[in-house]
Amino acid sequence: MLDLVGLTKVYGDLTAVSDLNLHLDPGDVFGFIGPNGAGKTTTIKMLATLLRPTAGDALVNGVSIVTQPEQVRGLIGYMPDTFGVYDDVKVWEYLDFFAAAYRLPRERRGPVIEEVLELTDLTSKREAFVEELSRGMKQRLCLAKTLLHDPPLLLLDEPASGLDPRARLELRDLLRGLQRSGKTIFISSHILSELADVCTKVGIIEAGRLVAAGTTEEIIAAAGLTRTLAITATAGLELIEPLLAGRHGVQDVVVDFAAHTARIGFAGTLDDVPDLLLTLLQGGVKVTGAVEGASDLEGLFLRLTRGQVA
Amino acid sequence: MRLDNPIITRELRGSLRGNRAIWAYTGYALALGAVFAWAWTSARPVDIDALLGNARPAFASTFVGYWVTSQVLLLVAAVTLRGAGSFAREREQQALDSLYAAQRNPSGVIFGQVGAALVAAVPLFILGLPFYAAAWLLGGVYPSEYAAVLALLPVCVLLAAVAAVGCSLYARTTGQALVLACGVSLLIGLGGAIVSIAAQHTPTESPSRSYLPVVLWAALALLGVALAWADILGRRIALTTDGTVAWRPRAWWLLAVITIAIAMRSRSMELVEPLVVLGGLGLVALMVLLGGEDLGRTPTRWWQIWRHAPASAPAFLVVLAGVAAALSGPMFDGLHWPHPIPNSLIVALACVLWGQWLHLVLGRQTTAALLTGAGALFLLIIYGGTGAAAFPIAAAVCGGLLLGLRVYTDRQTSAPPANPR
Repeated sequence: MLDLVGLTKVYGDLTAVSDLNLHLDPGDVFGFIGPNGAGKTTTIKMLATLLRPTAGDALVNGVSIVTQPEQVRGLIGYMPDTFGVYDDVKVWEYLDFFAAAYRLPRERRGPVIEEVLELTDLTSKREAFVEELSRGMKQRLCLAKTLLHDPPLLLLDEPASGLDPRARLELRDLLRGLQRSGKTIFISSHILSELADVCTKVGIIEAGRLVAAGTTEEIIAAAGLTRTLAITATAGLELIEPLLAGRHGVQDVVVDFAAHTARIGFAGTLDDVPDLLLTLLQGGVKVTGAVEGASDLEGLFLRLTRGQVA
Repeated sequence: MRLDNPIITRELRGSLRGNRAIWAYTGYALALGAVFAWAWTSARPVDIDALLGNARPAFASTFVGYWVTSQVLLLVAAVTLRGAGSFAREREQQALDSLYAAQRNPSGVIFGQVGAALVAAVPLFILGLPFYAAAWLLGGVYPSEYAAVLALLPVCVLLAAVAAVGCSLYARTTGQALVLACGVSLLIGLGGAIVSIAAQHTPTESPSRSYLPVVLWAALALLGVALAWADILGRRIALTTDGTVAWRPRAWWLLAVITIAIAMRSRSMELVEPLVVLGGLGLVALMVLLGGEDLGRTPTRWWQIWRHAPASAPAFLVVLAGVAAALSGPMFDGLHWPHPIPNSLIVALACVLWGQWLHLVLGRQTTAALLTGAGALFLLIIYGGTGAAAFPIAAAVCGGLLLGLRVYTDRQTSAPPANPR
């Protein structure tokens, strides 16, 4: 679906993006992580044909962003990080504007607009002026307009920035729905928790270079990093450390008795987790919950990057 | 131009829907009405019994000289305000990226913004029609008497719209764009006003015939520049998105301006017309030195004159010279055709195509320019005369031709500039 081949962007003496190579399959949700100034937006703008690469190319369904940008625009839905909406038009008019810009035939626009309004849960706001919408709704409206021409690839640049927690959850559900419908999603963010649950693949960029890419498993395995398992238990917390002492792959255990939780760092794979839990349960630990730490992505990011910018 | 342009549609839906538009129209109509009333009362005291015929010629003079001029200025102001806010406002609203990523045709964006600016002028023009009717019925000022002056109006408005959108494209903020566009439009408006007043006072026995060529000449000259501007904007949008643009003036655009300046000078100072043409031919060397740029990877064909700017400069000049010759000289009997404009078009097209073909075949700008110049001289010898008034006609013809072909090619072969890989 998407292939980046040595994608590079240079501004004068500054190399904003350097030699990116990546492959995404249909249905992948790719989380593009990096600190501010790492080159995320530059990369996405190149993929959206808004910036010409200095070198390299990217192929969307085999179509080059360099030589066939107009065809590529028909294959992508681009949602910029700072997007503007025209305040003096109604919601459906805004969508109609972009539907026309995407050259949807006039007779198809009405049904398509209704579809995307329903998908983004904005049907009730159809006749509202855009300026009346909340930020979360505007975000959904912007996402709706990127779906109008039914692109197989979505490029979402910081889609959840500035949203309250509820709006983020709604956005996350929406992205999951889009993934189920077969869309490939390229999503950038520097807020790691918002990507952790959604992405099937992750890429970490720093100073314009792709530090790591692949599934979380692959990155952890490749880098020899630690996975974190957060345990909640009603009793037996004091048994956790002795039970796991010397167990292969377990690197550290931190118990918080006041919060009835423990954090277990281990270098195994997801397949090792059930065995580990079984050990704890059989050893007398009353486990009520176990979740792979949401900060895993954060841990990965911190371990693999040095805080440099391009 | 696509009628289904989303930018124009949005303009109609958004800006023209609110109360502001109604108040603006009312204010405009009141302003025109005030000028009309002033023109009427200053020409002669209001006397219902002596309306038809008796109001002339004082009212006719005032009406044509001031009322039409006022309308030109107001319309120019309206499209300037809208045009200046086009790209700059979208940039400030951070909506431009989405538009660029969605719209697949650069020309569509440009035409949309210019069209949206012009949309604001259409109702204003229609609002002025009753005044024309009143002038006809009450004052005895016949449409034929101001038709030529009125021809300036759409040209000035188009030029102002294109210039304002251009300023908006280059300016960083709406404020900047507004200041720039107002400066440009002020010149356009004043130019239009001066020409309309000057045309009215052209001393001849038959006024309706005398100022027509003058005004037509000025109108076409302005149109030529407007079309050249549009071409430049097309290039700007095609190179949009790095935020910077390596733009150099296309030779023929500069040439259009210089030619007009020379033509006006020749008129005012009564220079010998062949000198004007020779002087223009002398510009060939200057123009080819300015250089240009290739538009990108799309293979350039010899007839795509707008894609290889350097060679179009001499060709453009040849057009001017050829048309000038065709219009006014004692024609060679075998080539004589009593209709000068079709004759000019044929000469113009032949020269342009010839110049471009030479450039492509030879691959050398200077050689192509020299050979084209030689061809022009040959035509001049055949036709044996010149006519400075033909310069702007040629500018318009050539500009229109270039623009039309450019739009067509944008649609068919749009590709980004060469990747410096």
